[in-house]
Amino acid sequence: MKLIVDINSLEILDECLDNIDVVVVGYVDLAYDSGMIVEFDELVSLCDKVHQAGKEVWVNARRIVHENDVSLINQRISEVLNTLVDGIMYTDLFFYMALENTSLLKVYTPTTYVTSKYDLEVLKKKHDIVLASPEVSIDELEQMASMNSICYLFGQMSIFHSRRKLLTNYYEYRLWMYDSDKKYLLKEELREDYLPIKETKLGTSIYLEGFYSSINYVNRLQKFEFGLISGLFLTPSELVSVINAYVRSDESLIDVKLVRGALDNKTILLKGDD
Amino acid sequence: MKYELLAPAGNLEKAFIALRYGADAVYVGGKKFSLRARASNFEIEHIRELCAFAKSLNKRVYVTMNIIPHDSDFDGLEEYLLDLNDCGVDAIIVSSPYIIEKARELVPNIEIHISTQTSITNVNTINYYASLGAKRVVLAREVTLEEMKLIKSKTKMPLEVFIHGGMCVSYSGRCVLSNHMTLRDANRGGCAHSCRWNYTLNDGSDLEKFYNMGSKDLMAIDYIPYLIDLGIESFKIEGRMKSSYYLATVVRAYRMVIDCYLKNGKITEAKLDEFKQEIKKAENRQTYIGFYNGLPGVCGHLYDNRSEIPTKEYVGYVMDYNEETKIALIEQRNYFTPGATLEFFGPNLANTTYQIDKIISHDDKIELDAARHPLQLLEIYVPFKLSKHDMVRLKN
Repeated sequence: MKLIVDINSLEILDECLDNIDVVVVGYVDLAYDSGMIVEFDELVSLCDKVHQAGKEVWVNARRIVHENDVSLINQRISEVLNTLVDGIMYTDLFFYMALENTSLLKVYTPTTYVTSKYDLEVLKKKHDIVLASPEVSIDELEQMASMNSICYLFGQMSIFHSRRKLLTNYYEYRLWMYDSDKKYLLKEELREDYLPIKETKLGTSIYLEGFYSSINYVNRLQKFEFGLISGLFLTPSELVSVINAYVRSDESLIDVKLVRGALDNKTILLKGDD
Repeated sequence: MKYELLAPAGNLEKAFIALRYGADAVYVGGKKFSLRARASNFEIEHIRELCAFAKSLNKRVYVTMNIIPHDSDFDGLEEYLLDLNDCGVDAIIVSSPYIIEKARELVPNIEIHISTQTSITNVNTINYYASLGAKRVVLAREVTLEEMKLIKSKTKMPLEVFIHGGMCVSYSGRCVLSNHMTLRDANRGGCAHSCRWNYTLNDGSDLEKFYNMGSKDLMAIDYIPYLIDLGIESFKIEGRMKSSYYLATVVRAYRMVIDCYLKNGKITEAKLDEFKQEIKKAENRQTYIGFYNGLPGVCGHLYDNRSEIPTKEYVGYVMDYNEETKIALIEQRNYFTPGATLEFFGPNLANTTYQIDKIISHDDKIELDAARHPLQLLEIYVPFKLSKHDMVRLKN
């Protein structure tokens, strides 16, 4: 399995690049959930460095594109096309159409939409590579493993994304000052989890408490061509530890709270179920 | 150009009411592949009956197949698609690429409409679905009027937009709060509406902050003239779980707005207010204009979850009317008494008020001091002509 890492610091490459097959970075205005965002010159330098090591660079463009934003997005895409980037990861089909006639690898990574092998195989007829959503059990995930598909190995998973400014509006309603630099956590009244909630100019996202990790199941995921690790909300040293943990299949190297998401859920209640 | 008013229906009775009260088309869920868990979804025979009824009125039926499926959900897909085709369904509303592919292959006469679950917000994405054979897309509720205008100027794909009803606070299809908090799969019809629960917000300070993030419902009645002028093809009302009375009232109000604007080329504020008041007679939740005028601010949210007001104004459904005796046969829906002032309305009846005298039970012809029992048949003298399917509500 080739390792894709959405990095959160350029410095970690000195330590980890040998273990990474694809380096992912967010590009300005294109991503909201990337480990880090770079601008044009940094992206050019990164491509040089990564290509010298025989590895690939993909851009994280995992955002929803509204028609009002199209001019800006097209400008950013043309900048990316002026670099030696190898691929682009997106959740909005806008990017597929914008890049259809380019040689960039088109990597479709909607984290909630691809929950069946049937959909995944149909999607691969258009997109070069497709992410299997992590919203499925390990049994289901195993069925989706194939060439040109990605499984989500590790990261702080977004479980909610809204266009609304849910923190700004709330603080305005309460007549309190909203400080965008603070870290915010949500706790449902009957539950114990503290869910990170983050507002950006693209809206508001809520994440699982702890980091989704499939490290104990990696042997069942080997038929995926790619595995994705996200550095979002990790420190650079924590990300290095996670990469090493996956390379050595050693969970003890990871020193952050882990969750398994839907991996162990054999059944998810559906309509009509009690 | 035909502007379509598209209404939801949770069962056959509601579908008939929506079509009678002015909807040009209804969308319904089958027992499989559809969201809305408790919307008493349709058996195939119900869909067949509905299609026949709709066709007799030159109206249309769409079936929702918009779950985001797991492998096990596909059992019976081919047979189901063939059954829908046999019923005469006009379109299916879909999210899954595999279902789109199978439908194109097996039932090419059924139109494919792309569900709002796919969060379509731009022309590129519309073109993507056009390349898959889609005949219509439902825009995300997050698209503003300004963005609709831009989109409409760049595509010939027929567009469907929500004009009324509940709103997810997140982009539809991109929220799995319910999955992780309750093991109920939001994208397969099990949403537990976790976004409407009570939370505390921790920002590092000592003060405990009670937090809610639910969205107010959408009411875009003010924007109907703009949408018509833009050439938006279909105006969609949300709410497959709403009551027959709600459907009749809301569908009829929007029908009147659309017809009024198309007939006169304008609509006054006073007239719009009149239609809004009409909707409020059935509406039990707070409403807002959604994203039509840009990102919702504070006014777009429900910060007090206990703001729903039960509606008990709907008191009866007209089953028959004898023009000679002027006695209406009415099926009871809520409590009312002799002397009550009632408002009668229907597909062809403007709101008309009358203070009733006696209420007689239909079965044993006994004069009642109150109509207490749901579905009891009652006889009431009403001096003006009523028709079967008219409705009766208390006049406040």
